[in-house]
Amino acid sequence: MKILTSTKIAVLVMIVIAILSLIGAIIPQGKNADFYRVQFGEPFCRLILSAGFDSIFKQTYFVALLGFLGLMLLACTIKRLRREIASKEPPFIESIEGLRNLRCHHEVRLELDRQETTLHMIDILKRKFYTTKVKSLSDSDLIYASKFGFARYGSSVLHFGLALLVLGGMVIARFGERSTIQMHIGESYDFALKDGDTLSVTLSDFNVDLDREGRPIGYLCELEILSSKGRSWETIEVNKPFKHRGAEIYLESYRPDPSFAAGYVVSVFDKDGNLVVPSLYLPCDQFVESEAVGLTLSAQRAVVPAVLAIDEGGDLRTYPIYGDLDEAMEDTLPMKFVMIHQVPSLCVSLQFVKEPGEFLIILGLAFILAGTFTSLFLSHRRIWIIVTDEKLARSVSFGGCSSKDQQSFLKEFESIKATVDELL
Amino acid sequence: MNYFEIVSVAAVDGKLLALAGWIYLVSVILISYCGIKRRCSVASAGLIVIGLATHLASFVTRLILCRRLPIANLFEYIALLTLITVFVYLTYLKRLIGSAGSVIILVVVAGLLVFSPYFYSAPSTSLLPALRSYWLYIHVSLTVVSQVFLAIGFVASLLYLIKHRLGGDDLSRLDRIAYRSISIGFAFFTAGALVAGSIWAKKAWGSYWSWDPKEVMSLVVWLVYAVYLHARLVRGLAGVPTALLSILGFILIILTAISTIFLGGLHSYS
Repeated sequence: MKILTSTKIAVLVMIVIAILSLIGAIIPQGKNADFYRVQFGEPFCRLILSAGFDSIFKQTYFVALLGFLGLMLLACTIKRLRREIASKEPPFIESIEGLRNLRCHHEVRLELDRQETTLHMIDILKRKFYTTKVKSLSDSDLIYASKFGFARYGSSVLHFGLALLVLGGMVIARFGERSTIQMHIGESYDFALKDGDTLSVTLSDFNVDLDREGRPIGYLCELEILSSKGRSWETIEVNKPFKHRGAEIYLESYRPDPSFAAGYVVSVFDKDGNLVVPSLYLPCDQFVESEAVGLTLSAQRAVVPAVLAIDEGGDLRTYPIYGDLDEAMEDTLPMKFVMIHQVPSLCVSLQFVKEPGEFLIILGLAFILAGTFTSLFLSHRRIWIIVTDEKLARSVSFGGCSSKDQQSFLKEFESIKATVDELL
Repeated sequence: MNYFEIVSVAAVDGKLLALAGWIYLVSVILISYCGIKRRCSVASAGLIVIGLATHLASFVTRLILCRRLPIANLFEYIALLTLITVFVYLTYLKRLIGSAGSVIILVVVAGLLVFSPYFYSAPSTSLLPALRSYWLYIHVSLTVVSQVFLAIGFVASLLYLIKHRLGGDDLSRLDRIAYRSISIGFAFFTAGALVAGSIWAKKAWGSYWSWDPKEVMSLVVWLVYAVYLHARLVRGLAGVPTALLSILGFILIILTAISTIFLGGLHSYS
């Protein structure tokens, strides 16, 4: 326990983690040996690979160090809390000498009875938002007042939050799932959920907004979701994922996929090789009506692409798409389609994520925020008062201290002093 | 071309910002040569105010041109960080750190501004999809505020080391300034860079933490300042060792800010 709660060892562990992290930030992670050989030379390449610096954040020694730091944080929290619980009894100061040893100290004589004096003092402190505890002895009343008492738990809350973060990270690393799926419009993918449930996702549509310079400023996709809850349609975009029963789907990126056609731009010729339509776009997944050709047309995606044409009688015909007119002229079909170019489909990257330790992370972050601000900005202020009987008058001695921000406490103490002096 | 257009074009080119840097640099020379002589002190303060006005004009012009708070890339980040630093210096810090501290802080600010055209990016009203989130403003603005305070801590620590070597008498005052600044900076850095940053990372990239180079560099900065705060409690480490840690932390902050240029990663657009 002593090792786990030692500040010196904590400092050492943090320094080692910082140095290893710095190495991990400088050396590109997850590359192959050739990359390191070219970038750093043979001796450094050997050092990087043998020490595991190519994937430093996955190395056992790094994870163990993080785990050890997590344990230290927990041990430190427990130690502090035990100390606080052990001193639950309000720490009254019974001797005036004790009060005189405090950073701030003041003494007055009031011509009021003891009970009245004590009530006045409590009232003054309550107006300054102090909580008070009173202990009556035969010859004196002892008052203990405290403000921002929870500030003393600040660093424990911060440490506990960090420990939760480390724990949450480990739970996610062990039980979390993350996969990136490349999808084209119309394609579906089944994701396994807990309890044997499945989430079937179909990419219905994908749109990109471009600015005047042609840079993407937003992209979103429509998903058709089939789950145990039924069928639904969801729109996701960057920063707006879809969540369902502990699983999340993120829109990661997109790219044109030359191996997967969205459609073909073709020229249409008659059987004698005369140009009928110079340029006609035929999408793969829907039919378009072409007045110039007089048919309803669609492109068929295949190794050899073709045109599907529906005539007025409702008959479906298939025409091959040729690479050039010479090749097309070998055919006897009345309509000839010659490829101008293929329009590549956009391939969308969707990220499927399951992070079972997420609540630990959220809780940890909340604790870290609360703990950091409480421990660094709030000071635990305490004031002790002894009211004693002295012949006709009452002697009031009081003193106080603050865990930090002494100047501000000093101002408050002076103001309390002034209020007490007004009672004279 | 009217006056506003001339100013706008200058700001767009980063020239106005660099000009502010040069003005601060002249004021540094004035402070260094004249020390605390009253006439020089007034002249240097006047120059800093002119520099701040130029700096502010550049920032506001970019704000108007971009129609958003300009904190979306390294150039805009440097402009905001240095603007707040000079403002805090003029309103609060100047009387605390004296002429030596003024020289240090203004040299850092002027250096960043004079070299800012190298990080220049044209003003744009449109943001990358990943940056279209209110978390951008929370994450960056809290981080910038934290770094201003950590910069103050750096100046106080550097002065501490100089005075420690020269046998100065106000070491505990400088140590107190450094500690208080770093405490505030550390809290804001925790909230902005780590907490807000990781929540936004989850929303945008699907993961709270990706071991991205800039994330890791920020973690290292956080650890160095955490070590600073703990080391103050260890006998023998308070004083010169903690001052060195504060200086190391600030150097790492500068390296973290420009790390995407050399290390790439998910933060490459910043």
